[in-house]
Amino acid sequence: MKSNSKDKIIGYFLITPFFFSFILLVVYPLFEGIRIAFTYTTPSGEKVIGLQNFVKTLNHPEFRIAVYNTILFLAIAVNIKMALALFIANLLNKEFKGHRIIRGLILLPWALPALTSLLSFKWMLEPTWGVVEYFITVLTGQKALLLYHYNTAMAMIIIFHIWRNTPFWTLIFLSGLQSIPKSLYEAASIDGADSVRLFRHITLPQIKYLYIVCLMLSFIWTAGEFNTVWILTGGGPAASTHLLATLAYRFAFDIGDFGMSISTILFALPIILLLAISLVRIIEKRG
Amino acid sequence: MRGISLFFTYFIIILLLLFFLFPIYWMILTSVRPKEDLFNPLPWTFSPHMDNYIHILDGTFWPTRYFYNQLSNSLIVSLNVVILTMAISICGAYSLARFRYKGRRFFSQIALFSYIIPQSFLAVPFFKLMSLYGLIDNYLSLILAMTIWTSPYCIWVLREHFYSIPIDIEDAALIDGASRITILTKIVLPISAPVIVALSTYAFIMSWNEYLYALVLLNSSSKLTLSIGITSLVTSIDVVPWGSAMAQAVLFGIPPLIFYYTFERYMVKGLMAGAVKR
Repeated sequence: MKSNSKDKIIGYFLITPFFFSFILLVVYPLFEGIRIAFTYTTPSGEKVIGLQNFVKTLNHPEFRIAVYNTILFLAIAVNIKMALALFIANLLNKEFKGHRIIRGLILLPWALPALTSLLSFKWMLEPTWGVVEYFITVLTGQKALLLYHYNTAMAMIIIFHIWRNTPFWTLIFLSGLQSIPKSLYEAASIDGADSVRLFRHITLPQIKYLYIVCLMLSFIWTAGEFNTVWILTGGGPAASTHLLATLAYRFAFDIGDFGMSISTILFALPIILLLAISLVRIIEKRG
Repeated sequence: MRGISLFFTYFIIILLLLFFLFPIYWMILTSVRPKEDLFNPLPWTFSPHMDNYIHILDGTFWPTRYFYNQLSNSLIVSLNVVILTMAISICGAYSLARFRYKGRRFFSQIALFSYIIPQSFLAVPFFKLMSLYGLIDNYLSLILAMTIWTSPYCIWVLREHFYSIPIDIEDAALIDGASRITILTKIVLPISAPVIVALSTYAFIMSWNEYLYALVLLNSSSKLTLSIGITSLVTSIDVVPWGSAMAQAVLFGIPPLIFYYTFERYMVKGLMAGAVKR
């Protein structure tokens, strides 16, 4: 369709609501946030204090722990989740009896709200009566108190994240796998390639781009994880399992220091924005 | 497949199903267990009952007395988000798909960009902004927040969908003298109905499930949404009534579950279209 100047005006007119809300609800809060990070802001008022928030945050022991936790969480959770998703997608891509039903069932953790399943996990891990604690007590003779020790609490957070998000990526990879022409596999099978070789020489090269894009996307989304930590441990024991997003919440609403809260986020934001922008570029180029 | 490899496949799948389904099974089981059976580690109950559900639904269980209030709050927020999101996205996506103008590429980039960035990072600045406008503890702030977080995905999917509609129909209507707006409302929208319904449920599920922004933006107990309600039963009571907590979690999960499985086709297709296209 050719566009004359009247069409151009209609075009601008139709995109305005989105653009306006983007400026008002994303860009403006972001800049307002950056401004607040340079002030001492409590619920009662604010004054400009320069870089002090960043120094204070950087020296705060909870911030250092949260940075460490976030990196640990990203490195372990994202990689295991994506590799597992690709593995399951491969498994489900085969033709066998009942593979439709199994596909539907494996999706359940993703279809249910995260909050629903988080409550279920919290109940299973409950120290006195939770079923997981019960079996650990039976096996080892003592309670593990999984959510009350740093190492095991972090492990539970990671396990929940994998449990909840793997099905989603499985679905994405599955539809990626299904778009690989079957003839490629048939030709290679006739040449005598086994399933490991098929995966390495056909599946992997064909799915590489999708895998990398998904890995980046998942990395960015996982960096903002809030619910899992907040419901399972509330950041405890002794504020040791915080991630950046939960710590920012704690600084703002438990301690009441908005400057520190936002500077916590601002330390991570450049990396996230850089990743997001390069991801936009990559997707656009291919799309 | 040959025997051994088939056996191996089934074996792994059974392990995976156990891992993915056990927590859900255990939640449902707990919700129908009689009180005296609640702490039984046996993965079965011989006398299932619906008391937990009944007492939530007839309002006689004190800790969940706000259930209907919270349910209606969740519905108010979610339905408003659906309407706003669809209005913004239909206009925006149609503009991106059918009009040529300067900055078009930039607009579709920011749509993708706001879909990608983690929304939790903006919660505190968003809170500050809304308190500046005096919108704290007002549904409008939560509705606005969820609208901006759901519309980028809807724009992206709808734009791809509009591309797939043959342009000849619209050209013919233009020649017949129909206006652009008439074409959008009389031709494009009716044939896009399935996608629009699917995206509406996406926006609904996202707002229904939202926790952080509801936690930050709402505070009086009569305004809380169900997402806050079901979690406060576990986080703010000393002796947690786990049977009721699980029943409430199940009730909360039912609407998204139904929507998700009804529109599964569109949810995957939508994501594959554009965002993660090969």
